[in-house]
Amino acid sequence: MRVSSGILLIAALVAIAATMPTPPIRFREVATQVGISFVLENNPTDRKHMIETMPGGIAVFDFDGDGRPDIYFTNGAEIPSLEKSAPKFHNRLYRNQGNMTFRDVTDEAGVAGAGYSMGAAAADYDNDGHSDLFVAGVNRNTLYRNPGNGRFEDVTTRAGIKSGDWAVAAGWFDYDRDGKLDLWVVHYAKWSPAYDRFCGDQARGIRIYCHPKYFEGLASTLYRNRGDGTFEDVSARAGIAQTAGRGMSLAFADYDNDGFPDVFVTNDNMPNFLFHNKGNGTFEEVGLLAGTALRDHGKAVASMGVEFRDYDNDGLPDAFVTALAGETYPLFRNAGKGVFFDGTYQSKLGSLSVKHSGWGLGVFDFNNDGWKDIFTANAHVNDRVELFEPAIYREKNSVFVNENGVFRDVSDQAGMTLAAAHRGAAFGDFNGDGKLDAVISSLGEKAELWENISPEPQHWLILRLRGTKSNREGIGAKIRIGKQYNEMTTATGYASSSDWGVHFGVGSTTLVKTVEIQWPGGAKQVLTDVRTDQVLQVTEP
Amino acid sequence: MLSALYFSAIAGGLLHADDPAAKSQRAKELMASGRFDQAIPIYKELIAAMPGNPGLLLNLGLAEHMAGHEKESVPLFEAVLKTQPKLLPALMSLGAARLALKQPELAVGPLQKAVAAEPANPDARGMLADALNGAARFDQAAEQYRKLTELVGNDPRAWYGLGMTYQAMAANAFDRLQKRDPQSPYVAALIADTRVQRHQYKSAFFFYNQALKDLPGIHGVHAALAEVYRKTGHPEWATAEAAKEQSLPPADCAAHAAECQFVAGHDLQAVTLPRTGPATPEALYWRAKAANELSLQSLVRLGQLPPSMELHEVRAEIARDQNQHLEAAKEWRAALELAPGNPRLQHELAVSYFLAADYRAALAEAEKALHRDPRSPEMNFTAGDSWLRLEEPEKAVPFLRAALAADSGMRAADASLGLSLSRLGKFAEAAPHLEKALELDDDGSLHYQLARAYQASGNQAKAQTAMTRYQELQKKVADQKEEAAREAQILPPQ
Repeated sequence: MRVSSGILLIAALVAIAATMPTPPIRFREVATQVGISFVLENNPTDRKHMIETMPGGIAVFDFDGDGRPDIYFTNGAEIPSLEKSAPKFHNRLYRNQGNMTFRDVTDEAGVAGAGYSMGAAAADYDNDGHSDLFVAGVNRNTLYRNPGNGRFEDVTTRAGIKSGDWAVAAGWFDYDRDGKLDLWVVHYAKWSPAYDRFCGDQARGIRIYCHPKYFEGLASTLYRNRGDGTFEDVSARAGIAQTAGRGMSLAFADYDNDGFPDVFVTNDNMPNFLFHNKGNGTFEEVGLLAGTALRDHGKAVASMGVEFRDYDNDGLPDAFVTALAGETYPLFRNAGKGVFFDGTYQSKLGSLSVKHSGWGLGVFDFNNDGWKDIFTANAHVNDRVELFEPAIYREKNSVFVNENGVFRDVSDQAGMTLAAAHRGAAFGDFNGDGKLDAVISSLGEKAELWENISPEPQHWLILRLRGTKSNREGIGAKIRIGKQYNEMTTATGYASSSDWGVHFGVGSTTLVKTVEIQWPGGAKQVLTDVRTDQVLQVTEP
Repeated sequence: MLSALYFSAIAGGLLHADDPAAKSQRAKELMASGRFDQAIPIYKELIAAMPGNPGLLLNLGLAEHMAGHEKESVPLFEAVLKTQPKLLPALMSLGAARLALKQPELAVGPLQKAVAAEPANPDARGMLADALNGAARFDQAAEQYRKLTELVGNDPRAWYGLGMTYQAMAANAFDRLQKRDPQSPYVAALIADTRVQRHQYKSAFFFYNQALKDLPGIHGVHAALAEVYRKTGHPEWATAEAAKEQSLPPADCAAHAAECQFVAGHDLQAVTLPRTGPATPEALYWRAKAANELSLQSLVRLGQLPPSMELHEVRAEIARDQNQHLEAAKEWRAALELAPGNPRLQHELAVSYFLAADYRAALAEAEKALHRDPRSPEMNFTAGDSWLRLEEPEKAVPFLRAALAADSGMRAADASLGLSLSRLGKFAEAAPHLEKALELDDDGSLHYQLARAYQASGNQAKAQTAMTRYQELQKKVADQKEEAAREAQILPPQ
């Protein structure tokens, strides 16, 4: 009789779980009221230079160490000079003053930048406790060191960082696990302002951005951190210098759980790259065999942003990619043993995304129910697409809620009302309420800050790691809470960066039984009975 | 028109007075109200009572024809014509039935007799022209359409028919030329012309230059090249190229008669092939050029008439040719407004939506078409593939199976069904369809799909082979693109 009751109780609980409504996700747009007035000046010209349609990377990071995430926007420049000839082209740093207010501190921080900027990557590369910043741009990159006094130092040349190619995105990771963060820079293609191919319909006089096929792709560059403030270009030695693509963005995860972080690079109208870290300082591009190069139909798509996170709580990082209307936002589900399957259809993401075009994205648990949801910054690449295709240029953003590994479009209910030429997206908890907010850039328009106002009181936990043997921020650390799995990374979506810790939504749980942390330096750490609804600082043992 | 034939048959007193009056009257009412199927058994009863009565046979034939039973109607019309060989309604109905059965060659005979019996009848002549065109007898078809335009100069169907016939004549001349000598510079020049029509100027530039290598003195090609320069923003080069055209000596009209006729604007003469001997590549080239010109003139006349279904059709086809599928769909919609429910137009609209990647709209139109003709392989494929592209493979499968049931050789449906089944996790079932579709694989994507299907169903060796083939095809495509890019440079005149 007792057994029967137990079975009945379990059955009842299962039934409740199956029918429990997913906690709603709600956002409201607050950029102007919180003091953010940034406009992404892409400087569109009649000549339709390809670079004009591609900027917009954002970095969310706590540059002043006050525990509140700040926001850095990259910006365009004059064409053809590629100079920031006026303040409107400056990159902008907004300091989070608390109480959800921001102040533009660009000038005092010395980060207005130079050239036509595209992407941003924040992390503490010199392990001094202050997040530094790399800005990728068209033929011009910048590395800013953060000495912790509120003003950044441009150390590009001294550090040995090169310019000269069109870099779109970059990311920090410790590929050789020596405790020092290395830098991976993704390049798009060979381009100069002199490039003047006419693409479009000459008879109708309609000029559009050229198809990517007209641009010769470039390989990524890997900089190894020597630990003395300088970097060494090890691309050739690492075996990546000959693998040219039209790179758009990147994400890191140890997809095969061999202890070394691997790199997913999206390519525009070319197969994506999956660089498997062989653990000996070299990489092997395995996208085709692993099943991440292409969707199941075998044709390359215009892959834009990428996230490498576990959405189905099976402990394996999966890869999400944004692309253009008609292509879907591909989802490569990690089946283990180094193999991925196209999960776009099974997750319902295919039918939900097929009409959208996307750039930035974030795969985070926005309603804190224990399942990672998706936020995408939508817009087409071609501002005249409506003349040629049944697609829309300026789009509203999308929010897809995760219901046990299957997604549902809740964009309307979530308050996604603004159509724009969205590009970059970065994420952080700006007001400290445990609900992740989103910041989005748009070509020629004001940035958007979407405050997460999801109504259900779900619980959460943010871990801020402090490496001792490992890199200071614990980038690459693997964290498990129950079935949930995250890796510490700052690389986000499209050409962007989110550096504030690792977020978990835990639903109704107020006390997490165990938090398991596998540090990149090798140490394993288990925390028990951890109170939720806090930002927990964890130091590597 | 066939309703009119029926009533003219009645008016002609073909119903015999000794028929039971009530039955005859009932059949007549059913025909008048469009209930042809119900009239058929009544006429059969009447014929059983009066075997061989030509009036009743004609009426039964008309009922069968108008009910869509073409095969059944043909022997009835033929029986009538045995006793009354010049009976216009029977001749025209037989012609119409043969056309509906896609037997244009067999339609020609009765329709020629109908035209001979009533030369001023535009319906008879129009049907004869259609039949001749369908039978690829383009010269005769053009002649009939031309006469039709003299009879009914304001009828858009006449000008449309004439334009389309000349277009078919041009295409036919090109095909014959290509078969005869695929490497001919005349082939290159005609390919260049089509590239210009599609606004593919770089490709046109390449092919015109190919033609000029062997035919430096040919008239018109330098001028066409000058136009390419103008369209691509090189006015100085255009002037230089136009000067080359101007400096060409006149063609030797004894040796190059067709060229002379064409250059002089005598298109009707240029389009005519020599009566003796096989047509030379040169003669076929000028025939294609002249036929295109004559087609254009006809379609210009069509454009001068008030908007018509035919005019929108022409515009839609031009837009489709130029890969402007949204524009094509707009024109098909406009044509449909003037001819609501026209199944052919609906079919074309569905195709244009599909090509424009507007799969929701393609689906809606395909489903309308399938309502009328559920077995249509093309529309089942359009619906199925649209569902697949909308990421709903479970809805695609029934349509794709129906397409293959109607046409087992439709490899595109095999490809689409294979991918649909793979997405549904039915890899073992998907593989044979993908295997069948491999002949379509020009970029390796089907081999990739097959490799993944084999991999998922545990057949690693086959997966490896298919993946290797994918990589080979990808390399081939990349090499071809590189070559095409080299060809695509527009350079100054030499």
